[in-house]
Amino acid sequence: MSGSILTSVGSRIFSLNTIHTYFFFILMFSGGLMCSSCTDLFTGWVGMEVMLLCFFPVVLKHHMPWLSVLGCVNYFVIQVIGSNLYFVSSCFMSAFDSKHWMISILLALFLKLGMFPFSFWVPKVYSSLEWGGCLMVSVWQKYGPLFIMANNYLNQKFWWLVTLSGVLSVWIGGMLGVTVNSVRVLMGWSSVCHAGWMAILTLTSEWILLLYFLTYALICTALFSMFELTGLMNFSSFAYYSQTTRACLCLGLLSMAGVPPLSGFFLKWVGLLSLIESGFELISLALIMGSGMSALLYMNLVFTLSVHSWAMSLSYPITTPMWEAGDYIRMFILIFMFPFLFFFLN
Amino acid sequence: MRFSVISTQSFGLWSWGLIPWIASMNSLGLAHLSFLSFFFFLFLIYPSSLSWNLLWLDWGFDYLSLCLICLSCLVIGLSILMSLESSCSEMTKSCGLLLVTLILTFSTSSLLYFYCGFEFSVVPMVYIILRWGSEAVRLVAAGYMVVYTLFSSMPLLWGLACLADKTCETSMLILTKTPFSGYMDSLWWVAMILAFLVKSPLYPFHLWLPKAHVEAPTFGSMILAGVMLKLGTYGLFRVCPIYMTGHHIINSVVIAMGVWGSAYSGLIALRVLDMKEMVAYASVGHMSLVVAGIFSNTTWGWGGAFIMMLSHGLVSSLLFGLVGYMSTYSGSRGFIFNRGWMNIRPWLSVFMFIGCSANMGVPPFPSFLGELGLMTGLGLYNWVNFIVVGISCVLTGAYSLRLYLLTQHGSSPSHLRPIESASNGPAVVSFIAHSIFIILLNFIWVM
Repeated sequence: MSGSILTSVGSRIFSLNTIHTYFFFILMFSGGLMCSSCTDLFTGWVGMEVMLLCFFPVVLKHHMPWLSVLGCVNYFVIQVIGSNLYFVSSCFMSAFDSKHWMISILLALFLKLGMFPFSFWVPKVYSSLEWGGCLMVSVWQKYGPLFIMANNYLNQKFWWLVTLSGVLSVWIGGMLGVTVNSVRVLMGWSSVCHAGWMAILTLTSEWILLLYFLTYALICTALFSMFELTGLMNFSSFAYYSQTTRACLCLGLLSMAGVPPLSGFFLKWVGLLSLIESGFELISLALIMGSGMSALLYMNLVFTLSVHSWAMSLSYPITTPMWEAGDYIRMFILIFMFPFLFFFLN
Repeated sequence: MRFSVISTQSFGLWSWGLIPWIASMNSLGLAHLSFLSFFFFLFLIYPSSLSWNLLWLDWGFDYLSLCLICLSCLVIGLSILMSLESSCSEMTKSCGLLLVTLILTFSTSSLLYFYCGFEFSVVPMVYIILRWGSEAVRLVAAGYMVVYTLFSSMPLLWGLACLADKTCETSMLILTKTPFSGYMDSLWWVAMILAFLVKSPLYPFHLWLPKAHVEAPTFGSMILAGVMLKLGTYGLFRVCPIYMTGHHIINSVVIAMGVWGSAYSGLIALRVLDMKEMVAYASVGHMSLVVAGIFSNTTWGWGGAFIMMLSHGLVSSLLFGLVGYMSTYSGSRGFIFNRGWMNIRPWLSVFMFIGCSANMGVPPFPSFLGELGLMTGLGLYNWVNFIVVGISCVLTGAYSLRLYLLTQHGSSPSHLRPIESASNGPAVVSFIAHSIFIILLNFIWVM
């Protein structure tokens, strides 16, 4: 039992064993900060590139690097296409002094975020990455593009593009996610839905966006590290879990789905209030209906966890990956951050 | 934004403190706890007035919510008693969670807290269906329930957010201003009531209910029919005062759907072959009438809806208990396999008689008062409703008699013979208590 929550969970799901991976980890965070504090598009591009390049040494485990190579390569190709499109169109924008290049910049960012017209890469990448990689793709890699969008005033001018893509990715993510059989791909579609929410929130208030992002990051970290610790691959492996593990997983998933007393509800409520405050009443209605659709993503998983399993009735003992007490406590803290978040709003 | 700071925070803090304590009980302990809290809240009714008594922040209750808290404590206690023999720790935990959630849900004056409880109470209910349901179709049934309640409650959240943002208030106490005007107003009003209509359920939105009832275990359907449906009508009682004076076109549509839907579900109940499904359609019919009565905006309609809501809670709980008891012993929910129970269990037909006559609204039972109020209130709204509600009351009588005659009379089939020597179990106590409280409900003080 050493160090903080982040270190001990992080050392298990990322390869934070040696000092140079820590270096890349910190470099990745600084790339994100570069994106969120930039005033021009070029610095944002540099920040996104730094984040992308530091992603690989953090995610690839050096004692078994073959595990997620395929996912990394797929992800790299997609992100490079997005970056190049971004770079070229921002050059054109300054060269020709035309605001309409912002459309292709936004499309490039949607490609990087995995939002609606370009969400085809999500199942491929998520299914071939490990949970640590999935967590990075879902959370930290989204930070850069989102805050570039939030910082740029032209984002407001093309609000129709952002809201169209956001609402459609919430709906499409929910629709495509319900048919999926692998848990990682399912979480990939869930990240598409949340990216849609966050992209629309870039139009309203940066603080609300940050709050949404942080809460989403907490829930994601909790859930993905639970998946990692229980060694979960697909739906059938649930049958071996103990009652407490199932309850924890269920709570995490329900929190992701936005069931009220859990942190996920906070995301919806704060997002809705901020959207309505900015005058997006009908769009927020479409968005929250899509959120209902995307909550159905987790339904199959929660149902599978709740059904009394056949493995319980087996006569021989099955070895399951055991958790320490500290693991449960960490998970509960991460899932039930809910009331404390409200203090930040004051 | 400040408003949201206090609001959702305390909902969480309250419930978390209570859950570990209740989770450590056994089933009988939880039944004791719910009976004790029933009497506690019952005695709170008399000193408190009809208006709101606020305790702390947005927590408090009035007469309506106290009655519903009493109902939920009673029904949950009796349903645990009903299946005490097959109880396990998960059952105690889920029922206890449901009890705490329902008490918290009914004892707030904030619509946002109410929404939290309204949404969260689906979780233990779906768990009960999934964990104790008998067939693989239960996954489909639970899916229907989740999809219906989830999709309909999303617009409600949107409506509440609009209300919170434009009027800076979601309290039920001062719910007079509406956030929009024009066509957005109608949209907002539909968004506000849709979740409650689906939950109640009003006739065309009822499809999840018979499925859920058929698949749920006995105690699950007792709780579902007895309390969970009342969350919807309670919500309607709370939001409808906004449109108390105006004759909104949507309200008339809802009344028409409720009144005709009640007659339709009576017709469906006359021809189904499954006992549980029949009782489920009976509750659809009654609850549709209750919804119509609330929307009629008359004193008669509201009083009738109030009494009908409470009496339906107890009566449908009793009927589901009886039907569940019979199907446990006969091994089938079909009418064909459940004949001549009077020869096997003479006391059972006494309770069946009480349940069926209370369901059809025969005078000593409170359903009669409810039907009287609803018929008058809806007839005051429009005279056509007199005829349709009359037809639906006749149909109620017809299917209640059908349930009684088919299951109790006739010669008993041979597969029921061995049951004659089986012991009665604590279910009898549950049936007796149901019957007593149904009679005592006559002495309730109408709002």
